[in-house]
Amino acid sequence: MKPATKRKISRAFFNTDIFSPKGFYLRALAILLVFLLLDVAGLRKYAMLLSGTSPVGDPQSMTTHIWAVLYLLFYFGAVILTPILLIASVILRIGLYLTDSTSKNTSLTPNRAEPS
Amino acid sequence: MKLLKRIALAMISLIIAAAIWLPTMHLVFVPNLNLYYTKSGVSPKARKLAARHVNLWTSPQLAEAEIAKMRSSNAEWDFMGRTFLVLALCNMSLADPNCADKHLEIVDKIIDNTISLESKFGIHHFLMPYSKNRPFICKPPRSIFLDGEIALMIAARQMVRPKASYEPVLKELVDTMITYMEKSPVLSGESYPDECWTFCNSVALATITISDVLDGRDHSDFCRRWIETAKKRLLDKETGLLVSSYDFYGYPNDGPEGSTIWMVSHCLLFVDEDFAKDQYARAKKELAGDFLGFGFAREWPASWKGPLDIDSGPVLPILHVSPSSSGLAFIAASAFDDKTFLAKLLTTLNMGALPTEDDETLVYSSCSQVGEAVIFYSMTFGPLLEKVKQLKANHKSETEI
Repeated sequence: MKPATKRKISRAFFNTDIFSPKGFYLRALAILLVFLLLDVAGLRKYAMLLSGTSPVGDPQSMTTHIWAVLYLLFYFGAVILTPILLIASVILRIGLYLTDSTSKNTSLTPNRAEPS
Repeated sequence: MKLLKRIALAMISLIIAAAIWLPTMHLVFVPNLNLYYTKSGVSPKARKLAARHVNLWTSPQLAEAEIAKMRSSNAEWDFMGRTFLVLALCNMSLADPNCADKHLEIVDKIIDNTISLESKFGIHHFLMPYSKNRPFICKPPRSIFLDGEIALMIAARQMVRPKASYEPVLKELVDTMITYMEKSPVLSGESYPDECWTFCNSVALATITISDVLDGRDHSDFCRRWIETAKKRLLDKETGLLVSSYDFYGYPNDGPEGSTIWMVSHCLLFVDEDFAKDQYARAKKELAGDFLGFGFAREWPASWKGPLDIDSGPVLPILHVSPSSSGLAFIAASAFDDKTFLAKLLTTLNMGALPTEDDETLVYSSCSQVGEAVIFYSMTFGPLLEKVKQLKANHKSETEI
C-alpha cells in the first residue's frame, strides 16, 4: 500500500467524529478487519485457552495468554460489537436526518409574533 | 448541531442497536438439530468429529501433541478424553456397522495404550498430583476412576463385537471394583485417597450392568443396594441431587456439582431409569441456564457455594457459566432426549467454541480433545444403551421361561 493511501485511510479513521454514522461504521469495519487479520495469522488455535487447556502445552506461557485474550477480544468484538455499531450507524443516520429536517422546518417557519 | 445533542443521539442509537442485536444474535448460531443428532444412524456432524479424532489416533505425532496439551493442565483429561472417544466410536459402530472395523481398530489401540500406560507408570499417571499426598484407605491402592472407565471402555467395545482377550480383563476389573466398593460403608470406591466421587462410582455401576449383560452374571442386587444407600446417605438435602464427592465413610466433601451430576444421571440410565430421570430433572432445574437464547449449565446450584476447581473450567462470572458443566450437560440432554436444552446448548457451542468445518472434519477450536470427545459422545449416544436394555430384557424373559 502506498504511504499516501495509508495516510488517507488513517486520516479518515482518526479524523472522523466517533459519534457519527461514519464513525460507527469505520470502527465496526476496523474491529472486523483486525479479527480477520488475527484469524488469517493463525491465532484461532489460542482460543483453546477458553477450555482451560494451553494450545502449546504450557499453561504458564504469558505469550499464549496474550494471543488468546487478543484473539477472543476481537472475535467477540466482531460477533457482538460490530453488528451493534453497524445498526447504530443506520439508526444515527436516520436520527440526524430527522432532527436536521425538523430544525430546518422550524427555521423556515415564519415567526408570526414578530412585528411587521 | 450542538456536540452534546449529537453525542446523546449517538448513545441512544447504540442503546437501540444493542436492544435489537443482543436478543436476536443467537438466531445466527441456532443449529439445525438434525445435522447433529439423529434418531437412527449417525449424524453428519458426528461423522466429521469421528474423522477428526480417528485422524488424531491414526497419527501418533498428532495424538501425542493433543495429549501433551491436556496433560499440561490435567492428566485426568487425557484419560477421560480416551473414555468418551471410545464410547462415541462404539455407539457409532453399533449405529453404523459399516464403520465398525475401522473404529474398533482405534478403540483397541486406545484401550491397549491406556492399560499399558497404567501398568507401566502406575495409577498416578492419569491422576492429578494430589493423589500422592496421602495414602488410599483400601490397600493395595486402586482408583475406581481408572478401573471404572477402563472397564467401561472394554465393556462398550465388547458390546459391539466381543474380543476374547478382553473378556478376562473386564471380568477381573468388575470383580475388583465390587470388592473395593463393598469395603466402604456407602459402597463406594476411592477415586483419590479417601475421596469417592459419584461420577466414578456411577460409571462403575453402568459398567457392571453392561458387563452382566455380556457374561450373564447378575450384580443387580449390588447395584440396587448402591442406589438405596445413595438415596439415604448421598443426597443433598436442599436440591435432592447426589453430592459430587465424599469421603470413604460417606461424609460429603462437596455438594452437587454440574460437571458430575450430568454424567451421573446419564450413567444411572443403565442401572435405574426412574432415579436417573429424577436426577436429570433436578439437575436441569438447579443448573441449567439460558441467557439471550444461549443455553449453558452452572457448576453449583444456587443453594451451594462450592469452590471452583480445575474440573469446573474457567467459569464466566455473573452468569456462572461453567464450560465443564455445560459440556457434560450435552451428554445428559442427549441421553434424556431433551431437544430444547440441546438446541440451546448447541447455539452456545456454535458461538463460543469457534467451530471450523470442511468437507471431512469438524474442529471446535476452543475445545480440547476431551471437550470435543464429550460433544462427539453426546451426538452418538443411544445404540449402546438400547442394546443393553434389549439384552437385559432377553435375559429376563429367558429366566422367566
